[in-house]
Amino acid sequence: MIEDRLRETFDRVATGRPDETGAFDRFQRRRRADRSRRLAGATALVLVVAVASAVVVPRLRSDTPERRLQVTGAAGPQRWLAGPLVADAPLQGFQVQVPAGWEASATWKGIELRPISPVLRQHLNGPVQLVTSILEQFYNPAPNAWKDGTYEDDPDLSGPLMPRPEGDQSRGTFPGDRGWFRTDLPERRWRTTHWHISWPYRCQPGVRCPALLGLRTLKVVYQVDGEGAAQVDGLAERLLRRARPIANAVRGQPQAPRPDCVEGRSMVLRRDTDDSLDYPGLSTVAHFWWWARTTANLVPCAVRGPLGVELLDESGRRLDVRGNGLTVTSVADLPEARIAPLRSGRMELRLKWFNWCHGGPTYMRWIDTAVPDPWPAVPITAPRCIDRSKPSRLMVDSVFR
Amino acid sequence: MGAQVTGAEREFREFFAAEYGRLRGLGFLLTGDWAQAEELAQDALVRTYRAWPRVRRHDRPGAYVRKVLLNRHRSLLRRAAVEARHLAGRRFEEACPADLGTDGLVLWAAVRRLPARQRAVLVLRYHEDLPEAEVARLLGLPLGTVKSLAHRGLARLRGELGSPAMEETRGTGR
Repeated sequence: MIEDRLRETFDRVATGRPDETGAFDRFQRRRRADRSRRLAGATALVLVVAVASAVVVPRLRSDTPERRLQVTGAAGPQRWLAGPLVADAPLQGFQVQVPAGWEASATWKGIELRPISPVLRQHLNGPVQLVTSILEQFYNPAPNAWKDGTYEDDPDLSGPLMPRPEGDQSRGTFPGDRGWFRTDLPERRWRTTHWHISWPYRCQPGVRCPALLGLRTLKVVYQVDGEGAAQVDGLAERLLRRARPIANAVRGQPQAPRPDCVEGRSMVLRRDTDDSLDYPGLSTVAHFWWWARTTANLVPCAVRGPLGVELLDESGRRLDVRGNGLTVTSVADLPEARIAPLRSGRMELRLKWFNWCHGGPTYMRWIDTAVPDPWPAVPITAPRCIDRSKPSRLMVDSVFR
Repeated sequence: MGAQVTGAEREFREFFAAEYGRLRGLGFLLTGDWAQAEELAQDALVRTYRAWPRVRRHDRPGAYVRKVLLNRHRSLLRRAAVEARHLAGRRFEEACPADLGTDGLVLWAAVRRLPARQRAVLVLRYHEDLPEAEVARLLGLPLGTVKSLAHRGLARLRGELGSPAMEETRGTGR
């Protein structure tokens, strides 16, 4: 078995190391240098913050009585703005007031808040997050939100969709009869809280709207210790009670422009080939396919492509295949896209290659812009030769969205 | 307070002694270069030391430092020049352990030619003996991608070794 040989080789290679003498002394020198660098950096940072506090912040506060934090989903350096301010997150469909005493920063999936007070900050393990999520019917504070006639019926929706929420569960209603669901998981010093209200995703008129999107929630997530719990719970309740639906949380409202889906963040794009399912030499068609799952946190994005494959020979030259290098653009919008009979938010693009009569080693390389680095060429089993008089072809087999 | 700091320091020294060799070995399997492996291991331990008051309370501080090392390795790979050197099998001759035997040398050479992500997945799966889900978590990749990388990595190694037994396994395993 190749796996056993690999284990044995790895063990031998890793243990055949040169002498380790002096490693801890080198570590100590390196640690001291690291500490000096960090101290110098921290001093510079304190100076910058002091200047900003004295000059920039008062000016911002006096010039803009209602400052705004715009959540665009774009990547960029984290920037904190002190409350009071209004945070708009059209992709997540909410608008909230960030109160004085807290500062907020936009992330791709919502906003993060942290207290300005360094004392309270010590009682929080990381920022307070306000994001969209999904909660299955059993836990969802509005389990029938998808039955209002604007979503597609889905009799399978009542089954488990996700792992059971961890921690002590509680339910209740805010004034105005808005239901909430909450879990609290105490672990050593910290208590992890997820606090949800129903926040259904509204598709554009004329777009098939999978029922699952009716189970979207708006949730606050934080880790707090016993001393900070009252203040942070108060902030969380205030955020949830006062959140205002906008954009895709309001029926008939125009939606915000969608950013590109980003691999491993807003979506998981799986690439695969079907050739391995056939017996070598008997395969009539080689399939290449992409399969995108619904976006994390149901944050909308567009799978724009281009997506495709190129078929190569041993030296990296494209094979003589009609349609070789074919790509498809504007494949799907998530989380609306779907393939029947599966649930929401999935798309699939499938290409097929058939009739290869030239023999020789064949390779393929994925073409897609969702990953930063180009894919390496990998060996692929070529399809069977069917008719030498006809060209080998690569073509789009199907697109489900 | 002073006693607590001394205790933490002592714990870290023990942690260092227990983990250093293993980290350096992991670094070598990923980079194929003992100097880079030492750099990665030292860097990961300095970063872990910074967070030691928090990390020492973890159930598995070893998993933390391994994750730091993998993150540093990934950062290195992002620099195209480093990756190019890495893929080219830099200093292969001096990096080859002497007692691998012919088969081992051939396999190790094939591993060194793998793309960085495939190689990292195979090292974590078959050297560290981690389940695929844990490999996915450590590398920050979807589980499906890890499965696919492992499958392709093994297939490529089989292909490069090219022994009849391997070919037969490949043919009947579908």
